Amino acid sequence: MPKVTLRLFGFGDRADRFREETRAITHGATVRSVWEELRTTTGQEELLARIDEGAVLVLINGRPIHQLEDWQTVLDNGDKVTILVKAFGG
Amino acid sequence: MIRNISEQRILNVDLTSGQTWVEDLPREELFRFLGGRGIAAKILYQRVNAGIDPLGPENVLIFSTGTLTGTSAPSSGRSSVTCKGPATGLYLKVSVGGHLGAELKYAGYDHIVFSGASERPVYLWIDDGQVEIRNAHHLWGKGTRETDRLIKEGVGDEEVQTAVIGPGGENKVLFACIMVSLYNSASRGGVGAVMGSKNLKAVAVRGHGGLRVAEGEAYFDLATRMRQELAEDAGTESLYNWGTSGSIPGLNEMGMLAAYNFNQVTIEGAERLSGQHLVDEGYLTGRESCFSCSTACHRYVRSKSERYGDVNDSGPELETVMALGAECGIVETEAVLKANQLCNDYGLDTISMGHVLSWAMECYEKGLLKGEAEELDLRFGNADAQLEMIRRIAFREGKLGDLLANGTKRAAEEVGHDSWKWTIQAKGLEQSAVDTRAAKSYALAFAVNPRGPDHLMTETYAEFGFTEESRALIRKITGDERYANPTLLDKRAEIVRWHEDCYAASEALGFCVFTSTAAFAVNPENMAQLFGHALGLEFSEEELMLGGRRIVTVERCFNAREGARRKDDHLPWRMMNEPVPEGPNQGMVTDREMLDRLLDQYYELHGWDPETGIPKQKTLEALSLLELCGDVAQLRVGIVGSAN
Repeated sequence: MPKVTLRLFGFGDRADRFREETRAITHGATVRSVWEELRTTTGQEELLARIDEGAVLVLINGRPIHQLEDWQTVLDNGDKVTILVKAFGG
Repeated sequence: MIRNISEQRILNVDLTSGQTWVEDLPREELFRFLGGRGIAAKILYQRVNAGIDPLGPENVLIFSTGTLTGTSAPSSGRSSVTCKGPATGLYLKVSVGGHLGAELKYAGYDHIVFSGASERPVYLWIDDGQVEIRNAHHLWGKGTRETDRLIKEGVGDEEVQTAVIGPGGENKVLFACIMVSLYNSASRGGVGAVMGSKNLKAVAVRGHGGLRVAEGEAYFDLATRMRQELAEDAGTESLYNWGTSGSIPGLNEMGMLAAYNFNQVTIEGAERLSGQHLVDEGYLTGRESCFSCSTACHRYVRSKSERYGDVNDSGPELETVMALGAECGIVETEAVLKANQLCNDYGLDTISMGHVLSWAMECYEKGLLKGEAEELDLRFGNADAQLEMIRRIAFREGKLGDLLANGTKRAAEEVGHDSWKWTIQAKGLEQSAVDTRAAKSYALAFAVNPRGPDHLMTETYAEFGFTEESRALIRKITGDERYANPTLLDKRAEIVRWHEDCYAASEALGFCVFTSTAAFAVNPENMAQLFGHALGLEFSEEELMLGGRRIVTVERCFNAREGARRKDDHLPWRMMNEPVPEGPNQGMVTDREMLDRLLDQYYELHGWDPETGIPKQKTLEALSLLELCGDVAQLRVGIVGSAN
């Protein structure tokens, strides 16, 4: 079964920490399916379960998904999926 | 006194003679150049001859307020300072927030033009239209905070707004800044050194007047709606929560976090430089807005450290933590806070300071710097050495401090060997930390930036397409949101020119560009309508953007007259020759061929000569810039500007 590394930033008790986990996925799993599974398995009191998807930045191996196939991007074994609360600065 | 916004007044201060006088700005000039940055560019072009020494009395120093500054327009409290820059020998404009601009408006002035140079240290005191050049002997040598405190104490008013230089400006460090309203930095290009060269320690302003817009109700209604839209923008919320350095973790994940003098694009422990970390670790003590802004991205921080000493200061901004932190291989929060505080108090630009130090660290590690660098062990990651060098640079102390105070371009000329290749600068200005190898609109924008390569003349953030609004903007500019991809070369010229026009117009009116080119609630249509309501005329989005382009073109002509040509529109050597070493953008570079392609498209779009980069006569005519045609015609036959 393929596996991806999930890196979640800013969703725990502290806004400045990554939480990393390895998660098994099905063949053909998309960013959307992993995102939805992640939200349904997260307690409703957590930000991850409540946050609007427009407010998160999702990267696959460092690349924003809108430069790929957006939420329909199919994940491969070994992919690093980073999800951050969007932040702006310049 | 209540003034109509359309009746702009210019205060002239000749520091050589000590005379002051006031001029009224012709209304048609306001319509053509929109105000603020635009009026300043025109004044600079008119009053500064080609080839003068930027640190000589022939240079001028222009403080300008945005046309809408001092009103209820959201985030419209910006001011600009304009002169011929000492780091580049070219046009220099810096923009700054705080409350100085509004205070100057209420005192009865829209612009101050300093000329000449005083024989002794002075400061300018403006009190509701009363203007006085005062002795600043007791302020000379003082840091910016102490200077601000002493001025307020001297005039007996805590509400006075100041623009102040520190020892950096006094010692003509070529990246000295001006600190405004105590904690806002008018940085880049050595604008503080120009102020120091005039023996002008500070400008202090108090005003109790007001401004009248022509169509008050319509103006207020639109300003209120824009404020509401801004409050609902996700970018605004994140700027409030985390400040500009909230984007550090994302940049690190994307391999866009410049580190170790751009030898790396990620750094271990980057999150310790983030705005989130400042909050979680309790360093953050407060948030503050500039005049008329509801975002409050400005921070106050406090730290206690046995090693680095106590800090009670503003900031740090994203570029500061990248330059003084990651670029120098330092991720200790308290060290970076201390470095930022020193730069603020000495009056030094943190971006250039970070680059100067990271370049020196690379030179030291490669064996090209000895002596003082060896004594300090000036390697990457050595925060103690960094802090000591900031002090030495501010006072030009020692051979190394004096060398580095001139910026990386001049320092590399002294150090020799391949050290020039490691200077992250072009035109003499250190680049801000965007990796222009992997972001092509930024690459083009930086290359053609009249003051040198940074993001503070044209912010093409939308090319990343991080939000629906930014992708919609790219669709509006190019016809297809697929161009919201920074690695593409196509349509970059269109994206850059739109942002140049918008940025220039935003600054002329006094808007913070975060609201128009990062968040997008303040768009050209809204700006044009507000400008129209303020002046009592119909004003379209197209006219506004044309005004922005007129400003960009005058700035370009100023540089052309100084001798700048196409060959000067380039990026730092490392950006053009050393591919990104790691991460998702590994292997990318913006080489000469790519840049030439981008420049060809850009010049053609602008109507500039493809060989020289000088605006064509028909372009000037189309922009109603007939007064520049004579100079430009002479440039073509090499009469003006060829000496440089």
